[in-house]
Amino acid sequence: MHEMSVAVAMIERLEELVRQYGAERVTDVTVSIGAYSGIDAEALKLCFPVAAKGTHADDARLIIESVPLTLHCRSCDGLCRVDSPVPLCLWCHGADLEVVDGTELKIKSMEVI
Amino acid sequence: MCLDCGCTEANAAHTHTHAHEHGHSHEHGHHHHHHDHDHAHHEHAKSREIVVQENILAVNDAAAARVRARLADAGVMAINLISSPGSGKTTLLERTLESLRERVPCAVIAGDQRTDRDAVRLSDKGAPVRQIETGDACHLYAQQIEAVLDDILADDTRLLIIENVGNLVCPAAFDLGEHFKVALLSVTEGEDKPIKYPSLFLGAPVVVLTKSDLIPHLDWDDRTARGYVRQVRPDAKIFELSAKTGDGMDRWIEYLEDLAR
Repeated sequence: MHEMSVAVAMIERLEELVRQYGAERVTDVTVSIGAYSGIDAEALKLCFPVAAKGTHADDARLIIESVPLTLHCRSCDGLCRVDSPVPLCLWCHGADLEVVDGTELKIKSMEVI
Repeated sequence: MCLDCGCTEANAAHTHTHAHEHGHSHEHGHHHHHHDHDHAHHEHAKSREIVVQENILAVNDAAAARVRARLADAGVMAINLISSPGSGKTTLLERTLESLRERVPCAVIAGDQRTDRDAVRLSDKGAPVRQIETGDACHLYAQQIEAVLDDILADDTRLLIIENVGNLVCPAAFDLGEHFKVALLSVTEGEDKPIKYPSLFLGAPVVVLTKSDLIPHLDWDDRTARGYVRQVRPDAKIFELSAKTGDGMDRWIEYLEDLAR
């Protein structure tokens, strides 16, 4: 259950940004969560309001965008968007794959007033 | 350049101001996510979107980057051992430190929620050991590594082994500044752990199958296990060993010696 650490880290950064931009409060936060980031979106939704209590992001809406796992094939330069890791490139069946997307854990944007 | 909107402000969070007129549905010019705003929720007359595009764990990641730089300066290689509780991390470490003694100067940071039992077990193996009690946290943070790094590194240290909190899920998300993660899987846990917990195995270029001495007593299928590891991480380097009997330890120790060279 490291989603609480993630929620707390998010709130700390949002608080800094609120100060930096002289905003009154945060109304929306959009995060992108890779399918293989090791973060459970539902657990994060539970933790976020708890971590936000009493901060400038209290009652902010959390919008979660899921990012599918994407592998890049170094052999054919193709991209494979997959539900779960695959050992071979879907295009050329090469084995020289690298993860390019789907492990991130990002604050994309926030809406403030 | 901001990939979302084409702004040229480098990396830093930046704003796009746009007034909202209420009473009609709207799309934000700069929004690339598609959500309908709930206007009952928005009582604001003027809101700003701040494009952030930062890792949520940026503070951890910054500490990890400092740890990595410090290790590079000192010429120390660092690995982060991750596995479920009871898969044999500490026993493997005991035998590893004994084998590397007088050959590769090591240092160990061991994380557990409570107690210094691991540090005590590892304390007479010739390498400095530091226990970090994480309390209720289910993983180590890079800041915790950074805080003890200077204390634990000696002038001649070549290899830092971080024994993470026993957990297959949470430690996978936290960069500690290590060069890479090593996933341990004991044969008693079943062959399918790599596909059940792919986040860890995706991020671990080295996998150690432990407790191989128990294989005769189990239905463990080696080919299946290796197949699952490779399904998640085709280039994974796989070691199979028993820290108890010493079987397979030579290859592991040679590998670490090469790594620390």
